[in-house]
Amino acid sequence: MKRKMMVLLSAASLALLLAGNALAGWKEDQAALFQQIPVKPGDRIDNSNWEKVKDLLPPSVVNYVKKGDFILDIDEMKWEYGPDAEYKKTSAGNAGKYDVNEQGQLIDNATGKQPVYVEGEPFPSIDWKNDPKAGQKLAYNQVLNFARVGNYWCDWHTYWVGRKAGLERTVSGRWYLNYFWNRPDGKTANPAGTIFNEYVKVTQPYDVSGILNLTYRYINSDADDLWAYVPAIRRVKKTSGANRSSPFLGSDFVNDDAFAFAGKVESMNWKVIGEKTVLMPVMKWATEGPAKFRKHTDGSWRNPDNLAGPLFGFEVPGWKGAPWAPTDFVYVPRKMYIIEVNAKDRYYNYGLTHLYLDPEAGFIYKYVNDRAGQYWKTLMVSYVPAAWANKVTISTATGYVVIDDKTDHASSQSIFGAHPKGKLENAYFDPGVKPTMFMPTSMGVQSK
Amino acid sequence: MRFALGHTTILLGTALALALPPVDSFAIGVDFKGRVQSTFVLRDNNGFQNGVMDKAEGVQWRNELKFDVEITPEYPTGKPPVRLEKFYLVYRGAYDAIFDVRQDRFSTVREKSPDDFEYGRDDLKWENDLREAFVDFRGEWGQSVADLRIGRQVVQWGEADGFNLMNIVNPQDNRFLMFFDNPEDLANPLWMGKLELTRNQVGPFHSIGLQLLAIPDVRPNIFAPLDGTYDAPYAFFFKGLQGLTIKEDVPSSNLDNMEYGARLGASWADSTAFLYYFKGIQDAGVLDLSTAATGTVYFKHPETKTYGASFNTFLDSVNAVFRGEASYTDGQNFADMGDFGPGGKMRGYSEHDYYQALLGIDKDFTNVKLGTN
Repeated sequence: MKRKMMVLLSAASLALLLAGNALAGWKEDQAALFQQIPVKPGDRIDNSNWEKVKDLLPPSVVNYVKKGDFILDIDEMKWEYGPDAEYKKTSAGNAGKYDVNEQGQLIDNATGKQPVYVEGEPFPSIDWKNDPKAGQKLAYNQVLNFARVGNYWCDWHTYWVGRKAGLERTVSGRWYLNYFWNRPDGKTANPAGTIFNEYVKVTQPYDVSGILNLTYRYINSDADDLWAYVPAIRRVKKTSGANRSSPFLGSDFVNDDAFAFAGKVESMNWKVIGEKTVLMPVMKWATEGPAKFRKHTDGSWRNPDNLAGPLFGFEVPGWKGAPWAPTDFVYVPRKMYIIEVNAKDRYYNYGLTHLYLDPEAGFIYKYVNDRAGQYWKTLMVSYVPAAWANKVTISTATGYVVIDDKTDHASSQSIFGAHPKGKLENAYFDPGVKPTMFMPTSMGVQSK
Repeated sequence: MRFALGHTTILLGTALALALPPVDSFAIGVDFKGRVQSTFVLRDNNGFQNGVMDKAEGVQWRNELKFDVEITPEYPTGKPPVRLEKFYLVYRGAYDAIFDVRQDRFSTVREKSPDDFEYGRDDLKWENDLREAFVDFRGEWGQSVADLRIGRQVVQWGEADGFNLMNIVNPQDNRFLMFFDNPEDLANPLWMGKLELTRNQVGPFHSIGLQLLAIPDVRPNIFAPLDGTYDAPYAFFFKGLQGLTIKEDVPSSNLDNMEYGARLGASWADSTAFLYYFKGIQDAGVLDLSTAATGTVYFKHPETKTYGASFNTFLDSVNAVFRGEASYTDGQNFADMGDFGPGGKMRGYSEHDYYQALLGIDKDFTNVKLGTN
């Protein structure tokens, strides 16, 4: 009897040990990263010790720390940052199903054509060192990751920020996205053959309020269709779908800067040039666990009231760094791919660009050269890990900043959570967001 | 049927009362935004035809307050398929101090006339107008949507800006900056009902839509009143009429004189196209000189029918948007000093069928590769 008990106890201990090891995998990985880098959780990096991060950030961001523009607080994840296990399982089931053709288009191997519907990441396993299409495949995975919310709308403020002037201008609005791939409710009717429809509505200030921008992103190789409703002329104007690199409302952002890259994957040439440990900006609360979205009475899933997005320097009295610097990010070391991207369109305003991709989160940094090959600007974005409807998604952002180093000017964007100007509402999978919202012939009804 | 000051005040007060209290005290969302604008212009006082900027003055002109109030019902349990979508109010008030500061200069401009469309000096000095006040209803069924907008509103048709062929729904307000201002500020809002029926994804079309207008509010284009000298830059056309009383002859606003419009549109691939029909008065009047002997002449606004079409399309090969309009008007009246009516009296206008077309191109020339070496 005693011997039986001992065997049982040993087996139980072994089982616990093995389970513990499996669960602690991400912790060990993180600990290993910290052992390789000269920073640790709790460190504060500023212009007095910037050398510690010289290999952990894009060169421009290192320079921001060196100049005293940015101050970094180093932290660690206390949870396994990334999507839920069920999604990883769904994605794993896509192995071998998809490929990228010579034009950079996603194709279904079964049909040889672009897929009508995709669920999960199309490329769960990528050999970035040896696969020449690794860049496109990583990008398509992100396209699907962003679509997991089914549809999304959020309130946003975009700020024009000068070094001396501080806040120069604020434009506010609401952003709607309706996805047709990777939906929580599965495949839906998609007669237009779009990956998503997008609607940007400007609500403040008065001189631009009521402006609507509508975008159709097609599955096939057709360029985006774009329309703009301008209330000053009460008409819908067709605009060029090629203008993805045009400034967004005159700010330092361009239309393709959403999620750091929001263009068509096939519109770019992609090349993965490396993988390294890079510090990823996140909100402090995101290191503790995903934000628990709550189901609203209208059926949508909404962000909690108590979690905030970033505050930028101009919003914080006494801030000594650049007025556009995010003041309350923490920086966590993550393995990221560095991807070289170049536009095929000769009219695209950006030249050679480096995107830093955390495959669990998304594109984090965007280092942009101009068409002449000179460094121009840097964008950084922080994402929202969200727990809702029995899933964990990382599909939307808390905030962005883009710094134009040629003009020493920046634009930043708050897009999530509690904010001094009032809560920036975020909603996922809202039953009220329907395809009929995105019709070009009735855009004026959504405005005045 | 001009909107009386009393009605304006009541509606303005209601709008403000709804806008000012805390939002959470109502089951509605209220958005209030506006601007204060003061305009300073450099003006050639006797017109370019008498020497370019030879009598120029810097003039502190209109001081304008404009605001919008959008009142949106909130549906906490989800939007019902048929619902009230929003109330929308647009107020514009203005004051031009020149009429007080330079009373001597403008003393010959007539004061407010008791007639509906006879604008006087006070109409230039003051503005206090609830320009737009409408309510939107929406009905949704599958891929179809019906939107009904009732109230005082602006509807702009056509593709072109500036020179328009099909933008004939709302008359123009030419009292102030004319084509140097926002088109929506130049449009004279009308009380009307607008119904839009739209269907998403019909065959190759992104959407197709039918817009129907019913406009019982009949108004002409507005011009600023003439002064006694007729020396204003554009008024020299009317110099020969000095001494005559010029009045507007506008059909009454009632169901019998109701204006109607219909617009059928479709959007597909890179293109959008519309077909139009409008039956209404000619907003830009023609001067009927046949009553000149009585000392009074009239701006006539005969009924016309206009049929039109417009399109816009993006051509990838040239990275440009092409747009065009074409129209045919049955019964358009034009100034014609050679026209004589019954009894041999000079009428001063004649009626013609009128064809127009225009083509425009929008191209962005800013995507130019600039090197910094």
